[in-house]
Amino acid sequence: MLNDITVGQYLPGKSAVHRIDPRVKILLVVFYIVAIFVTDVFWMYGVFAAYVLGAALIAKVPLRVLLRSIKPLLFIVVFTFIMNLLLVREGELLLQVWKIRIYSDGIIYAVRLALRLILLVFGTSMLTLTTSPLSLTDALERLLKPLSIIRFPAHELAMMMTIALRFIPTLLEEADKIMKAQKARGADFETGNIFQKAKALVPLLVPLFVNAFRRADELAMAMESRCYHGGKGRTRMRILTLSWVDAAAVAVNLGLLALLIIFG
Amino acid sequence: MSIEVKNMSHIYMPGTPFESAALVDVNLQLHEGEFVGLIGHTGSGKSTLVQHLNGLLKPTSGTLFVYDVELTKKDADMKFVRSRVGLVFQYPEHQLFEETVEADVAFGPKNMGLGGEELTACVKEAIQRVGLDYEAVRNRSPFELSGGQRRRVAIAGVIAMNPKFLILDEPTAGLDPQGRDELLELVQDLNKSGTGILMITHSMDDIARVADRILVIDKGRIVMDGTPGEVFSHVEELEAIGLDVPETSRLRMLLEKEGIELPSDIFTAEEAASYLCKLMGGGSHA
Amino acid sequence: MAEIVLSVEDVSYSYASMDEEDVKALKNVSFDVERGSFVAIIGHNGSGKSTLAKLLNGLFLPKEGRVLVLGMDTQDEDLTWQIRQNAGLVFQNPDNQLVTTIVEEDVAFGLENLGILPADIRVRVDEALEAVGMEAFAMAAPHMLSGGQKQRIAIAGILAMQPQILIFDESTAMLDPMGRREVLSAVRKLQQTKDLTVLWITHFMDEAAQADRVIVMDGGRIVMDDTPQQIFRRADELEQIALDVPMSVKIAREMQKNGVELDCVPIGMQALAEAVCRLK
Repeated sequence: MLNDITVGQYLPGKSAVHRIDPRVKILLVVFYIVAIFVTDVFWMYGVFAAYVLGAALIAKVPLRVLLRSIKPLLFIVVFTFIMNLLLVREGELLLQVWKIRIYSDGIIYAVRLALRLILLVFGTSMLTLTTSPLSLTDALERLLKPLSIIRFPAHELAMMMTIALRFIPTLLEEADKIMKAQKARGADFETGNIFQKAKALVPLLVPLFVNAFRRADELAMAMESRCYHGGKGRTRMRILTLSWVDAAAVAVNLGLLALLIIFG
Repeated sequence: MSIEVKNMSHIYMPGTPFESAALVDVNLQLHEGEFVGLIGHTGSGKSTLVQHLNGLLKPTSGTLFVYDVELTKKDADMKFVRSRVGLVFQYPEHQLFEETVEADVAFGPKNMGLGGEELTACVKEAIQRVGLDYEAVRNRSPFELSGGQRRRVAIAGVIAMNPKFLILDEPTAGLDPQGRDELLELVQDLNKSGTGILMITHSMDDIARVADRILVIDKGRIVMDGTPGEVFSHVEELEAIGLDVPETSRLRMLLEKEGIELPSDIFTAEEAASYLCKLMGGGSHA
Repeated sequence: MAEIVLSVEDVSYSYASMDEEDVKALKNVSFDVERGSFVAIIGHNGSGKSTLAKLLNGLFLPKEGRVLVLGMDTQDEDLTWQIRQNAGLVFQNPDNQLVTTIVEEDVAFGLENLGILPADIRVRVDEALEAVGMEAFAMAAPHMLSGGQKQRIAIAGILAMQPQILIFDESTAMLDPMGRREVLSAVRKLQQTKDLTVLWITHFMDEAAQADRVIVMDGGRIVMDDTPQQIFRRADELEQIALDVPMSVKIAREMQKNGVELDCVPIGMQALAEAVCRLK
């Protein structure tokens, strides 16, 4: 049943990590990403790994969920690792097998980049695992609001994301239904080469788009009749207020910043 | 026998925290040319059940024969089964996709391997059977037709596959009274020409009037199976599982309390009125 | 006579059509609605009733005539938001009118648009959810709810804006019988306890039978406007314009044809059974 799908990978909870203001959380993740790419001291990666794992522990995010988040990017991590290993021709020559030469710097670069990528995925995953998509959207809108001076459509983007999140489950359910209906008419979505398969999708995609446009039309009408007229003069029910959790999170990060400045 | 279901169960997402039994030990036989009504409230398992009958869903356990094909076997001929058992989903007009009505109706039979004049002929027949003017609509886009017409085109797309048994999931949902009556007539006509019908509906007055047999499903189990007269005499049981009963059945129950007996198989206003008049001594009320 | 909260004065409306001339959806429609009343508007598909709904809160503007909501003309652009806040519209498809992924955020949507203070929004959202009996679902995701529950959320979203008039544009057409009952009884309760005026557009006769007043539309015109009892006396006329009449009325009519006259037009089986017993 498609009823149970959730968008993103949010794990609801009430931990301190969950309760960090989403705006603060986004900024901290940005700081974290910059930091792991700035530092090239190896034990600092250990510090950052401990930081992320500590956060996961507090948020009660199971380690296996966190590890799983690397899976889609594993190929890129391995690929960049091998490329660095093979292509860097600096430092000491450690090993030569036929035409393949491995240098000491190659190992260092390869390991460093792999660590950075893994830490990057861990950090961003912690953000999406502990923050609901709606809070993220909301926080992004508020963070980007100052940019509206240069006509950056922060509110419009956030509204689009909200609506997308709302309708993805509905559309998936509908896709499932249309697919079944066409199967009942003998459609075959499984066999054939890639071109035949792509062509077989037409009876699914056309109704899906037609229905999506109809939905969009009706939704626009419903929003207008609920007095929606863009972001101007709009208030929000949810007030985001900073608390001691945010102060603590910022303090931890100031500590990391200090380490970063002292040791590079 | 057209369709035979033996001890069939279906469990959604087995082995996960979301595990739920949608069908429990269902036994069912559907016969050639029958008109069967399937009633049950939302979530009772009726949509899950009908999706098994043409192989869209596989049972978790039990067996299922459709025109002598054992659907539960791995090498079951799905094409054959789907040409024998047609399934019209709820709001079927939302599945139209072709540029013209003719092309859309042709989609099913084409998938069955039909072509050339044979295809044209069966598309034409299907469009005419749903009460549309073939010459007038064949080259029109389905999207510019009215809602009721679109639904007919979608049904034609299933009829064109010439099924021996036609399953319809709430075919009258969202239609106005006239559209509803016309569609019911269409289904009755199909049945008269020999097509077996299994119709899911919430409209008890209608189904009681047109069906030979009513199946009641609750929490994934078939809890009643009989003629409309038999099934709808259980007003209290049906209401207890959240189902409506035909208005005439309600009247029968109300009058029974006052000591007036009505037969249980009366479902039209004409029958009810003439019976009541007879009881009243026909016109001599003064 | 009670205060008039809504008046439609000689309104005509037409759609631009791709083929040839414009399609006239409404022709010289006039009626007034009194405060606190429950008015059903019935008609078959294409009779103009949905167009009418969208004219009542300024989503469409009349081509001729005018619509006054609490005395405010919908043509006046400065009053648009005030009109929509006072005349809330609930649509047919429960899926296509909820905007956000959390129920309570959705109920807050209208209030946020009106620029209400956050603390006040909170209070009004909670009250609205309670009024439709959905407070337990405040944090639920709309796609996990049943059709009837989604419509109650949509109603809460309108209710939170504290309107005086609620307009329902076939809001039960896509629901199962349980959902229909659930929504209709929630609306009836609101109408009676909160002094709201309700316009209930439908093609279900049994729903129209529960109203104080029924307006029947056909071909873009009002063809009848009376109490349900009086309307159902004209069962033959209703059937001519492709409308149904309740089974109880049909039976009474058939009995009359057979020469047995009941002493009333029975709306509902209870009424019919009682009338039959009185006859005996």
